[in-house]
Amino acid sequence: MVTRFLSWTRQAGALLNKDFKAEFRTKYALNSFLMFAVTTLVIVSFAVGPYYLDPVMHASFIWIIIFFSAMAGLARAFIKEQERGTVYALKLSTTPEIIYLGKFCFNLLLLLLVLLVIIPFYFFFLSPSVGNPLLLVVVLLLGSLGLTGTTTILSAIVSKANVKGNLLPVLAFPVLLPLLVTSINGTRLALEGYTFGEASSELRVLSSFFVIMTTVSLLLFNYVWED
Amino acid sequence: MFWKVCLGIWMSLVIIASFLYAPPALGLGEVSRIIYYHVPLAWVAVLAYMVSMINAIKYLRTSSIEYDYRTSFNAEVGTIFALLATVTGAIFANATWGTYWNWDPRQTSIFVLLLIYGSYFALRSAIDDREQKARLSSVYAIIAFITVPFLVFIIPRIYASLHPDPIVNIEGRLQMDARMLRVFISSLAGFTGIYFWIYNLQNRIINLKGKIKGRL
Amino acid sequence: MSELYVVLTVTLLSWAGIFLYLLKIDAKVKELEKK
Repeated sequence: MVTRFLSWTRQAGALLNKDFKAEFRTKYALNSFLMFAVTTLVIVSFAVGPYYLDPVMHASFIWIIIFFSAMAGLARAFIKEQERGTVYALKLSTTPEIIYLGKFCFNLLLLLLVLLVIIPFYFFFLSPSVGNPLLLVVVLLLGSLGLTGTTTILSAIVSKANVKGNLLPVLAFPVLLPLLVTSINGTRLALEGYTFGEASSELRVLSSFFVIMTTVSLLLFNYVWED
Repeated sequence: MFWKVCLGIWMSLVIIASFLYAPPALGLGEVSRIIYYHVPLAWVAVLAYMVSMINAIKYLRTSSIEYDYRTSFNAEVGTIFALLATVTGAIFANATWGTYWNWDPRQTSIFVLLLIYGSYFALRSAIDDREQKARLSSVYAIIAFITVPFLVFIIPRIYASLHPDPIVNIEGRLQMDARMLRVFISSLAGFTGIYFWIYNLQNRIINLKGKIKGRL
Repeated sequence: MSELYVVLTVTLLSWAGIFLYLLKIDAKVKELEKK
């Protein structure tokens, strides 16, 4: 049992490694991700910077930036495989679940990297007051986990559509709405300075969303991946 | 055949009763009568969506295209009912509170339900291959449906804390006048009957399609 | 008050229309099934 688990992690890790190296060469996804986030941030700062914003607005803006840049940055996870023709090699290499996990980790890494850049920038431009910084980090983390889990399988679905266009936001928004609403509220609580106890219901919803969606995605990924 | 005529008479009676027999309670006047249509419409929409999702699961298990026809057909039916429910709800909202739309918990939930249907059809139209269309849209239908319980449980709480919503959700009240309750339940039964008729029709059409294909 | 009756009549007529439409489809399907 343990050895099988270790082999899974090794395979997923190898996948992650490959994606990371390929990405490092071109930095295409990371760039589009960052560019989108920074552009949105600049626009927001330009438009509402001079005005006073209460924590609700800050929370909403943060997640608008995160959501839309994630749509831009994570959409191509599977499309680029198809374009480069590496899909077949990928299909032969390992089981669908491992592929999902590998892509999931890669997307998560991408998202966290962008967050690491964008959140400090946000504070620089708009200076919101943070009551509970640790809670903020936890909410952002849990929200990112849920976001990545669903976006990974949805981008796999999109990669198989003929008219790829802008299908990912269309598919992702209804599914992610509960996550977004809860994350925005949790972020607001963190900015206003509530304790972990008071935010417990939001944290519970975020964790359960992540666990449930990722489990369902793992179970269904095989149907998406096979043909 | 007989039960369909009965259904026709039943619904006509329900309609008449909803206007003449039931009292216009809730202190809102005659507009409150819309509840006899609005809630059953929403109920049927959710029912149709559940049937759609069950068929999606069945398709993934058996790869029999017949289930996919059912999945998309029920999604269409559900969308129509959900649209009607939204419209009747907006009419009620405008008459009672002054605006057609104010993002109160129920309105948001029905809006997201419509979005899910919309995305489902958008996905189907983006794929040409019949089998892939079936498989991928079934997966999406399941994923999308999983999020609905989250919405049902979290949105009321979120709105309680985000905005102290002065708008009381009348539908939450279970205390109904006896006559109102009778008409309400009858309407619910009637609309469910309509849905079953549509469901029966679609099954027969699908079977016919299958037979014609087999004969070719 | 008369407004109420107007809405009632409109609703009844709409239902009649929907009902007859469903019956028509039903009849068509039955005819196809017999073939």
